[in-house]
Amino acid sequence: MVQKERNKNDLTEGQGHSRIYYYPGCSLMSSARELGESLFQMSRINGSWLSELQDWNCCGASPAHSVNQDYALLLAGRNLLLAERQGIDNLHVICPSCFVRLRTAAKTFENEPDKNEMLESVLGKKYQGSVKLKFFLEMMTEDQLGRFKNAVINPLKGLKGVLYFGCLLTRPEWLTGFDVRPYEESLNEMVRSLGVETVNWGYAKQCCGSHLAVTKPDTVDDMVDRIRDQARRVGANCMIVFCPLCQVNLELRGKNVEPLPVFYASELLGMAAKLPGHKGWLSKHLIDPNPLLSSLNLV
Amino acid sequence: MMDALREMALEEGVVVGEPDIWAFHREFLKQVDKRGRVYELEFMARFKLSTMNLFQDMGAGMKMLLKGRLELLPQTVHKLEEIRRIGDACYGPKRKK
Repeated sequence: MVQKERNKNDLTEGQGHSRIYYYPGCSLMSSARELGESLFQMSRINGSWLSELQDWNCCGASPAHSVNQDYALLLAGRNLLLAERQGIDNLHVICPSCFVRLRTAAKTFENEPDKNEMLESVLGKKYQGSVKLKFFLEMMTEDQLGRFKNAVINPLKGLKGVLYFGCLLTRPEWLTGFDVRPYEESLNEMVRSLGVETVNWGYAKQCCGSHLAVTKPDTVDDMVDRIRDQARRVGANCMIVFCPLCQVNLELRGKNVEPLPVFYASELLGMAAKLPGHKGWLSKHLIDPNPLLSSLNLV
Repeated sequence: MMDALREMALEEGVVVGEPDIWAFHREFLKQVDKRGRVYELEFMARFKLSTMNLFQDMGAGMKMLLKGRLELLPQTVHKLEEIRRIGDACYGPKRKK
């Protein structure tokens, strides 16, 4: 509990910088490129400029911690050291999976001195714990929300979406420091402010199986079908996600239920505020959202 | 807990029950070891080769490629020697490349 309070303080400090440092993660450069571009445009509404963590490396994702935990720890640790060396106070992490990996490593170095010594023996420096790790959507919540609301010139009337949080967006709670309910409510509010009607449903945190999408496609087809089926039952015409891995998986897999377009929240903002380049992002979707959007006169 | 058990089992060289998943992990980590970041295109190609399941998902892969969702050229960390040192510390310098 104490730990969580402390994390939460981490999250609320230091808003409103004009330069936002971010850790992109491997998928942002390729399979989630439109997410990257939409974030870049989105931060401009906020008057901020995105700067990448220089010379970042892969956080190790699931394979590293599944196979060798020290490897996972040191890979994440190198990024933390880089951020510290580059004088970054707040590092925004784009992918929920990277976020959890980096935060796990930061907590481990803080609580287990022998691990921090291991980091020093390999990379020549201990992690001092000065970098605050944040999830990128935090630049869109709370006091910043008004600016985004003002930017909406094309309210997305007619889109009826379910918010899909996936496994790692808020959990594990003690690690991310979010209060799950209020946090989810603020995301909901943000999406609604774009003119999208959001519907409550029970599958917002049902795992989509993206970690098995390549190795066990049949299992994952079923998992995605179940999620899609639920979304259709509550009357949604699209799904809204926050994680690059979920987005690809929810559009790629599933066989038996008619597919639904899956948008990133930042893409919706791009459409609602007519940010430069938003049509290009839409064309990258594996499930073409244009028929839906043109039937609602949104593009 | 599960991670620790898995790690111990792998160290002892057990026969892996889910060889595809192990191949996925192995190819992923090879990418990290090689360039510090994951190059999705090569990662997928090598994974397909190692499981000899070449045609599964070819359609989906091509679609992603054509839509520009797979990067054509890899990116590499500049200070690769740091990534190498991390690998050496965790696996020993004689690990299989």
